[in-house]
Amino acid sequence: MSIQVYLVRRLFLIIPILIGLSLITFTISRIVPGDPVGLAAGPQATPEIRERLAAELGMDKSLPEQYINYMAGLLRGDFGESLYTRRQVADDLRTFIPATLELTLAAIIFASAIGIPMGIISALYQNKLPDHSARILSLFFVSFPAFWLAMIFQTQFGVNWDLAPVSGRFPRLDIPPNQITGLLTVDSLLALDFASFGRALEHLWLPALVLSFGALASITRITRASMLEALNNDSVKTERAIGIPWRVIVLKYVLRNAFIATLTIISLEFGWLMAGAVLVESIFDWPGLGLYLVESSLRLDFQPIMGITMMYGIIFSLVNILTDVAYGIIDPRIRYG
Amino acid sequence: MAEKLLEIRDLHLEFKTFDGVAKVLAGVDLTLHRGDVYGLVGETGCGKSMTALSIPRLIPMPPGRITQGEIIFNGENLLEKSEGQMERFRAKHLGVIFQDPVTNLNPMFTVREQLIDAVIFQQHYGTTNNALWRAVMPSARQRRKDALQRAIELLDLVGIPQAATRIHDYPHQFSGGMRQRVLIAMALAGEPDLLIADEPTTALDVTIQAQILRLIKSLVKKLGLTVLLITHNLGVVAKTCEKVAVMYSGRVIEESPVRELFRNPKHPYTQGLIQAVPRKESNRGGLIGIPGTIPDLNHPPAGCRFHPRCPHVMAPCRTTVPSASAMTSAHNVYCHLYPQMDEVAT
Ligand SMILES: Nc1ncnc2c1ncn2[C@@H]1O[C@H](COP(=O)(O)OP(=O)(O)OP(=O)(O)O)[C@@H](O)[C@H]1O
Ligand code: SF4
Ligand SMILES: [Mg+2]
Repeated sequence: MSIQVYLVRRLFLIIPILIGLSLITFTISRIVPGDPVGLAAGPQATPEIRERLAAELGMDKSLPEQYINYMAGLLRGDFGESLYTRRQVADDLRTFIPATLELTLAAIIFASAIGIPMGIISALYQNKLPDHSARILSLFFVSFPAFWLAMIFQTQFGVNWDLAPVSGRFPRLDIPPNQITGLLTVDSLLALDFASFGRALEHLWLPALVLSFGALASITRITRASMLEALNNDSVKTERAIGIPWRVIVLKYVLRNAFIATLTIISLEFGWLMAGAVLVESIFDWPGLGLYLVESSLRLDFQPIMGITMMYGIIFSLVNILTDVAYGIIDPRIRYG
Repeated sequence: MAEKLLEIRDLHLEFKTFDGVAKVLAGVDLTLHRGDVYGLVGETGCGKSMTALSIPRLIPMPPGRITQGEIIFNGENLLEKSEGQMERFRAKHLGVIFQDPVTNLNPMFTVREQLIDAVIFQQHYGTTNNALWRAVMPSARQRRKDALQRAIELLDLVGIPQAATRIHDYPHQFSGGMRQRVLIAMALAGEPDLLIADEPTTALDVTIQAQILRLIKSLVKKLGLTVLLITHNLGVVAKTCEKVAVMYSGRVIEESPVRELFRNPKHPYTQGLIQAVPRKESNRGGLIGIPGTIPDLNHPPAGCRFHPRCPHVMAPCRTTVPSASAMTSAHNVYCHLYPQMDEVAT
């Protein structure tokens, strides 16, 4: 099967996943006790007002009908409207998703950039000083609670050393670059606006670093383990025996063999980080999806909850597909099918 | 007589294990002359692979440790070389092939990629210091192109049909026998002096085995190779080798020209082996049929390690390690039944 056909098939397979996901979320969010219409209408609302509002929101219909209406809206790209702010959920998602994506991507890049070399060194110096140091270091970072570490970093780097702003994505009073991808660092680079890039990066690095710690330890550990396994391959013995230099063996052959496992953990961790971003987002006041989800959940604001869940589903599925495609690129034995 | 290429003298190798020190090699003596096709036989666990891997110094240390002995190659003691010198030595002088052609090629790279690296690093080793840098530099591209030409010739040489197209395939697209040919090509890329083949046909089926052995023999003639062929199959030795050493529990106990060994075995263990080979020579001429078990390497028997199983055991066998007795100039036996050239105490 060619990669194009494979991709199209995988993309179509997202649809049943999303239907399942929407059914579950829809059902759960409608059966929790609460009075969303009342909340939206306010305490002074008369029964007539409430009824009118319910009709306006389509909440007077039966649940299956409501669900079908919702899904029909989705097909048009209409995620409904927040009961609380009366804003279009689609608009909110457009602003919040890129923020979280940017934060998570930066975090996973940090985690990989630190974790992969640490794992490699650990494996090459198995049970020697560099290995022990790397393991203690990563243990150190996973053992401290993220919110605590976040606050320490915020005070140290942000306040005491003034190396980073402590909140937000961009200076409030500055004009951000034109939205293309929504990732401020990327957009500013695309606009060749290096000043904005600097400012975006300045805001980004600290929360991303804090977020990356969650993934750092497992990326290091898995890389170490898969390197050790790859180093034990017979082919390494052959390569050494016929005189391929050690550094070529390690950097070219072994690394590629070990990378499948590392890639798997990176894509898994990406999901975890994205879901876990809410903590960092709230401490750094980062206007992302996590923060939006928490606020909406506290208000039992259905439409945003549904919308966010669907978006998480889509992003996870896409990351999965990307990972599978990458497997095939790295390992020629893997066939798409 | 041809010049000496490799001489292993009194090689002792130990492994630290959980329950003590395994004395895996206990005084291996072996001499290969240029142009030899030299067989090394013995039961499983007797130390054939460890002897072979000692030459390129590929035994992991620790847990392994060479406590005594010398490995002289072309007059140089390999055990005194640094790891860097050893890397260069392997590239220039050694080719090694192992048992399993499936696991010994890297599955994620094309044969071209692996063979080109073998060619480049074996032929040009040391011309500039940074080989990795060379491999990515534009000037290195021409080098890789030249190497590709050579790589295709090598595949041709080892008998892979349509080498120029097959070279772009991945290992899993080749059969086991073809993969072993690729591995032989990789080992020979730098025209080594010595080819070490550790059970190169054990993982292959019988007809393919014969083809690979024929290939090795033809390469010996074409390239002036010297071969150390490890096997536990006396039939393979009879068909392929001119000289043979028999190992038992970490020592060579008899070495001899092949015909002479079969006609006139001197060591009681060898005699047992040869009797055990069925008359109608089968391809499974395994080493069985001697009562008793192989010694525990953590607590090997003193003196001759074969003495608990030997039908001719005598008093000195239990205390003194037998040294070489020369039957003819090329036929040595390590056994107290024969006049000892010198006395070695345990
Ligand atoms: N890392 C190690 N630790 C402890 N003992 C080892 C280690 N590697 C090998 N040995 C022991 O060394 C002995 C010799 O092993 P070797 O691989 O040389 O045997 P062999 O003659 O090649 O046998 P086979 O025909 O099975 O390949 C074996 O008894 C094995 O258990
Ligand atoms: S030395 Fe003694 S025990 Fe060993 S093989 Fe010879 S006769 Fe037998
Ligand atoms: Mg072996």
